[in-house]
Amino acid sequence: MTLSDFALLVDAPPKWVLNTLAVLGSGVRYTVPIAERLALVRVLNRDLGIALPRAWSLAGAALLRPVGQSNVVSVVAGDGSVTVAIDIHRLQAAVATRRSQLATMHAPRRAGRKPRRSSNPLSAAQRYGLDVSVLQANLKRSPSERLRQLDAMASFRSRVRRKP
Amino acid sequence: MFEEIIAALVRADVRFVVIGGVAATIQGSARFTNDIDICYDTAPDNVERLVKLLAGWNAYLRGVERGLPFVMDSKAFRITPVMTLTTDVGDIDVLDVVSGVGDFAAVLKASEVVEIGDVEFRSLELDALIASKRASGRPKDVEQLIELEAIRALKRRETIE
Repeated sequence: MTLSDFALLVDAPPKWVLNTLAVLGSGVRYTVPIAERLALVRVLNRDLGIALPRAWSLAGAALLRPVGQSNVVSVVAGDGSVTVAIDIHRLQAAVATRRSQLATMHAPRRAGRKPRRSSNPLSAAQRYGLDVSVLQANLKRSPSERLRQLDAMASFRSRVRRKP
Repeated sequence: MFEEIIAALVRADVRFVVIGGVAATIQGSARFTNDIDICYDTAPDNVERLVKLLAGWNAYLRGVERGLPFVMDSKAFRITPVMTLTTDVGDIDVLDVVSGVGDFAAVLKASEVVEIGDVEFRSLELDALIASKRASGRPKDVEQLIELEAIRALKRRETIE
């Protein structure tokens, strides 16, 4: 898992992840359980002002505790006068949702400069290997015809299976 | 599949705009896409309707193993701005913001009305689609960007002729 992927799971900027890991010391790996722990650390630190080492320790304890039916665990913060209720199930669900995003949609930004705008987009498309006549044919159809064609392709694809 | 999903969203009175690959198809793209992306209004009543519809379709996280913690309610939508889901009717990605365009209000402004049969819905306009692909910067969007810019050039040429 790259730093960018890991930061997405934590829901924090990569810089925050690096700075936090530097404060907590080396030896922390980019894994899902650590992402869950750091996601909780971020909330405790950012929203409640709990120092990172203390937040790390509280988060570790909260994630280790057996959860009850409500999936909510309490941790005592500060001098003992404050108790924080943490919905562990929801926290883990949020990380799982970001894992799904990582697996299906997320990709690191393309390195280097943004692609230049071509002065002639049609030549650029042809140079790239796109068949412009297919686009011209498509544009002769109505939007609903195009959508129905896509639907038919999706349906065909879902029905086709490679013979074992 | 896509038509069924769109019609159901409209029937459920969900405020949404079709974005991504399906919106690109509506604009003339020849690329195949397997999922539909929508940007939704985050107003509580709208999220409630969307959640109810998705729950009815047994929505679950796509691309990860079954059995992971998952909550499908309004609060989950507030916490996670992007949900990539698989459902009984097909794969659907729901977003509350589109990179390069903005939040739902901006997306709505950059959309146009499309009809399929007697169903009317909104889909992202070509210029906004190009802006979103440019902003996302993902390698897979580069090819789509080239195609969308070619479509824009063809449409402009058609208008001039």
